Amino acid sequence: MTKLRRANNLLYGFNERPGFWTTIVLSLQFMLFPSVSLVFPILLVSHAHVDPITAASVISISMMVIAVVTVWQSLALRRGGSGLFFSPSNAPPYLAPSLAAVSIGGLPLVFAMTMFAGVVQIIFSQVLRWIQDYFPTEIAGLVLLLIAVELATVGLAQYHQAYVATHFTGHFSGERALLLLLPIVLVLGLSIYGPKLLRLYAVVIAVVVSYIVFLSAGAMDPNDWHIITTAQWFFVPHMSIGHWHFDPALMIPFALGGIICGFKLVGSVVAIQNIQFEDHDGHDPRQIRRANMIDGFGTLLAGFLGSMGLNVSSSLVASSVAERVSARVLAYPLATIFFLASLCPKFSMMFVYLPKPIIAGILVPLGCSLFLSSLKMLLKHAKTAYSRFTLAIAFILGLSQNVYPAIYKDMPHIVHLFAGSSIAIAAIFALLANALYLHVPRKQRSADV
Amino acid sequence: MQPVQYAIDTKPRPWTQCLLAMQFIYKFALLLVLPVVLAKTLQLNQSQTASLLSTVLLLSGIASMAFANTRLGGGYFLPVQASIPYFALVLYIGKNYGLAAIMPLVCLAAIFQFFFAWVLPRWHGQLLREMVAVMLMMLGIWAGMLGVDELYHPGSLGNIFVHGSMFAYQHLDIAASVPGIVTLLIVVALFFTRKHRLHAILYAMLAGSVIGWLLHTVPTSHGHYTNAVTWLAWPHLLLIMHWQWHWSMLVPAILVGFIASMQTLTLTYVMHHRCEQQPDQSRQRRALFLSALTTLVSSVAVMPVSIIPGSVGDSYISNAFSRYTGYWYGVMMLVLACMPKLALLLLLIPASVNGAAIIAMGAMMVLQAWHLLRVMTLPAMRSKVFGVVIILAIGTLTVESLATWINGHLPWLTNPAEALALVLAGVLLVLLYVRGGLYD
Repeated sequence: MTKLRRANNLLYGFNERPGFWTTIVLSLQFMLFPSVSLVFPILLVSHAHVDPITAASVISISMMVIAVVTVWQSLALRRGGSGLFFSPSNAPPYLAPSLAAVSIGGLPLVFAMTMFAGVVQIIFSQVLRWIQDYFPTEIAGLVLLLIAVELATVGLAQYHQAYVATHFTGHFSGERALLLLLPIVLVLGLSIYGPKLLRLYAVVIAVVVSYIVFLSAGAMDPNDWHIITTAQWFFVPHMSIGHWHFDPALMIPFALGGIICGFKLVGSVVAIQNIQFEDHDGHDPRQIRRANMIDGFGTLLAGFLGSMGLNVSSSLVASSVAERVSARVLAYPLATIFFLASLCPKFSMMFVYLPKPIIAGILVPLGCSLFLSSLKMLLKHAKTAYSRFTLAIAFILGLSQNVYPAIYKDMPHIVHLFAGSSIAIAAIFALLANALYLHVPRKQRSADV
Repeated sequence: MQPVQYAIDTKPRPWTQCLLAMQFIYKFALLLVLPVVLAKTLQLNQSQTASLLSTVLLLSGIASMAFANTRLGGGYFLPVQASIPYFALVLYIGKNYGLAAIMPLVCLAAIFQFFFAWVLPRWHGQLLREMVAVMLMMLGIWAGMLGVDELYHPGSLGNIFVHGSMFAYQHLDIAASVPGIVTLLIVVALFFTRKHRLHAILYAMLAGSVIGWLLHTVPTSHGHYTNAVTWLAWPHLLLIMHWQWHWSMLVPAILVGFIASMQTLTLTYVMHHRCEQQPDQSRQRRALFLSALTTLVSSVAVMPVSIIPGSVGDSYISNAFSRYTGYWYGVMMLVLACMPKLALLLLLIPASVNGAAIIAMGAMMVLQAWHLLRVMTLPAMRSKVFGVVIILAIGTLTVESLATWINGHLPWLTNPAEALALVLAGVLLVLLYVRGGLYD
């Protein structure tokens, strides 16, 4: 077997160790990405109308489980981990079903169904090896492509919300315009036009500088600032073990959430694997299975202790791929920060209530860099004209879910279950087209590219 | 890459040329709704509407044949129809400034197209290829979204342009979508085989149309126009010879002219690229000049005509780029100009069938744009720039509030995302050049 050569442009590979300060700064930078999605459990508890202790507990438990799963993923394969620097975050595919569950049966229903979704993902991780032909690597590229679009969409929506807020309150001015644009200009400016050293830390520099400027200019939302300043310094979360309620009617949406998270994780693993070696074609299925299983256990654990479902953080993966950094040693300081933050609500609230322009300044550039790297993966692995054509159609159909959400919401309930996200639509079309191709006799297929 | 079945200068058998031309006629017949929508908005009477349609068909036929000729138009298959890039501009000018304001502004845009025809072909190299790729991608995505809307939400195509927004959604019609879904599946299935790929779009659309007619999902919103015209009639032109000038539309008109020129350059470039030829600048220049002339001549007829930007998507699917198809296409358009009822009957193709075909066309354009971009070998800095450009341009479609804001501020652009991508790419590349990292 030919030994794979380390990629020339890889900064830090799986088993490499950056310097101490580099590790600390990179960990702080990578912490930003899963933190942004802590807004999902905040949305959940606001819908649940629970007491502040319970609400804070849900968020704290999310952070604790993130810490545990991050360390677990980083362990070597022979020690039960996947050997990857992967940090989970609260997963978008679980948000809609969780909100539906909380309105039907409160948090106990959310937690029970979240555990169910975790079990589904664990099972999916183990059966994937038998359906691998039906899920080729290029579909992972397609999934990541749409994740890139979703990241940018969320980021741009944040920008527009921030613009509207300042405009309607009558505070919009040239100064506010500069504040709105500062984070994204800093991130893009440093990462494209900055010196080599600053490109690596573009995001953390932009966030720190922007936060300071926002605080100095008094541009923080007063409600958000009040929450941060009145939050406690130390807090032990209250765990909801045993308080569960299961409803079969919600099995399909949560199961789909688990499967989508499984697909998303496969794409993320392949993306990280591909940056390691020169001319690397294909992927390590054992690492994928293990990472998927751990991710599923993370969701199971989150539901067990009392929080929302988790999945690998797309924005963290995007940053890893863009910066060519995948050293798993980064997991330990990152997990430590998250664990300490889970016991310090004041610190975690500073990330949860990041001003919208700063969130946009993080998400949009990430979407940009992930888009082209996903495209590379897709084109590298899609070898036939047919697979490329069907992937392009899948991309169009998936994108249309973002452009026309109203159309998909109006679909019959059974279709809506499968068409609730752009990734689901695209992945299902691509899988069906691929399955069709596999069952056509070779001599009837057109000449391949 | 798999070789093309018919390259630009290859002459297929006459029956093949005829079928290919019919495929394009059938596929792009839906664009006839644009002059109908324009007529409705400008409150033209039925006679004027019939003249408008007749003029569009006549000029399109002549221009398409001219493009196919190497001396006149460079020798490309560039089917011409009611102009997509000019549609939103003309509609906006007509609504806000009146009929008389259309001709001078479109004339001005055409004059600038002559200037661009002289300048643009001088540009060559990697950057041109990448800009063409970005343009093609945004065209493909826009077409794809249009197709999805028609697939699930069958209605008059022109409503998209009239509302000026991708979010002009009223209701979902599952039953009417069935013919379209079948059409898309047939296109995908026929793409398997080299033999049937050539006419995949035509076969799929015909099958979808039959199913649509059997399910009674034929659009009837333009029935009264169909009833008002005869089977046979000499082409009669709608000419507006009085004019008014409005300085406020100067820049928009020039920008639309630039976009139309870039679309012509893009189509000719990708044809050469797909046929594994170096772009022939003299041929491209002739095509650009003819495109400007076509716009200039058709400006007196209210609805300008120009090459159909999405036609290259269908050429990619069928893998045929022969310019000789242009002659057949032109003749068929002239026949339709003399048979107005037949032309309008083509509007009875079920909307979801059109939508499915547009999705396939848009997807193929996006795919070819991905190939053109050559992401594997793109320098790192330019890779970041194009990532930013593409994502921000797509974001103007996927973020509803942003799309509404942009459509509200740029109602005279048919595809604002495309224009934004071009402008943003230009600005960022210039900054990169100044910084000295253009080739890093």
